[in-house]
Amino acid sequence: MSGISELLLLRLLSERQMYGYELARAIRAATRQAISVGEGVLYPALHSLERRGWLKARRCTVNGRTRVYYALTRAGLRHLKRITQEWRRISGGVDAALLDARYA
Amino acid sequence: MLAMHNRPPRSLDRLIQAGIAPRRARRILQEFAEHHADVVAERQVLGDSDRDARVAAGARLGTEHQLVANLLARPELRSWTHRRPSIAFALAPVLSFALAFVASLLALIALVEWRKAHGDALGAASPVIHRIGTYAGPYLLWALPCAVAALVALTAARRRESSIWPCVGIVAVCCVGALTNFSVSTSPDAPSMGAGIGIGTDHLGATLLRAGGATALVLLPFLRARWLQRHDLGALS
Repeated sequence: MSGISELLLLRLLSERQMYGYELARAIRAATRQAISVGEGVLYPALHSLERRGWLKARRCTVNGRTRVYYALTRAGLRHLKRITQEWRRISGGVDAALLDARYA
Repeated sequence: MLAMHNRPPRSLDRLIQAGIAPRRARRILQEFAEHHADVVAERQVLGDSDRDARVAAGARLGTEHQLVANLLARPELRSWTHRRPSIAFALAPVLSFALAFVASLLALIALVEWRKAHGDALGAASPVIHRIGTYAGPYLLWALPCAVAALVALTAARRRESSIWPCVGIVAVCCVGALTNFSVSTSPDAPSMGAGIGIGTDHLGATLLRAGGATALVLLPFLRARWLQRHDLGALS
């Protein structure tokens, strides 16, 4: 599951920078609520991605509230391409097995 | 901001003690609290009572205790000072002191050369030589080792690190600092500066006094601060 949340976070942040609450909403919308992770789990994942250099964080004050916006770095973009290919390879393999009449 | 008020008092301390940098630990807890407030506001807009909105927010985010457990399960979030305390608190301070000592000497030499280039006659009566003689010695021999050792103490106390390696670092910096020497000769013919490191039997007493004095100046407040931190944490648990 952590690989999926990593992929989703990087994918969504490749479109635009977002803060945690926005990201949680974006995950629900993008996955049509098929994936529901505890929203508190986002922060360990975001900080882990930031620590590995795949995200950068920027603190902003919006309407008196502190927001920490996350954006993808170049290294993050490269990593996203790599894990997207890996995900397609694996899900393609699983799909092939599921569609194979012998295993249906 | 309910999450902030309901925060178990030890969350921040638990994160810092586990090796997460204080700034990062504060930021995570702040983000979590802001997220909680956003969800409460969202639910209230949808017609939930304040109490129901908070219950819903708690269900969506999980508790702060769960957040802390999730963070502690990620070793990559721990700072390198926590993973390599011997390097961070013992080796690096000694090297930093040596570098700062050499850099200060080079700065003094550059200052003298710059003044010479601008036509100052740097004789024994020169105010530059007098100032160097007055201030550079106490700075290099006392202030610099004490400052580096104090930085070790402050960093370790702030990060709630175990005291062993910081104590080793403080003692090591103070001892190396006590082994350094610096002098300015104001001889009328050729004023000069000299600096070095080493121990001589004729100055053994003074060297030990410097090492002991600087160590006591930094180590005792550090140990007192650590004792108070432990006392506070014990009172909270």
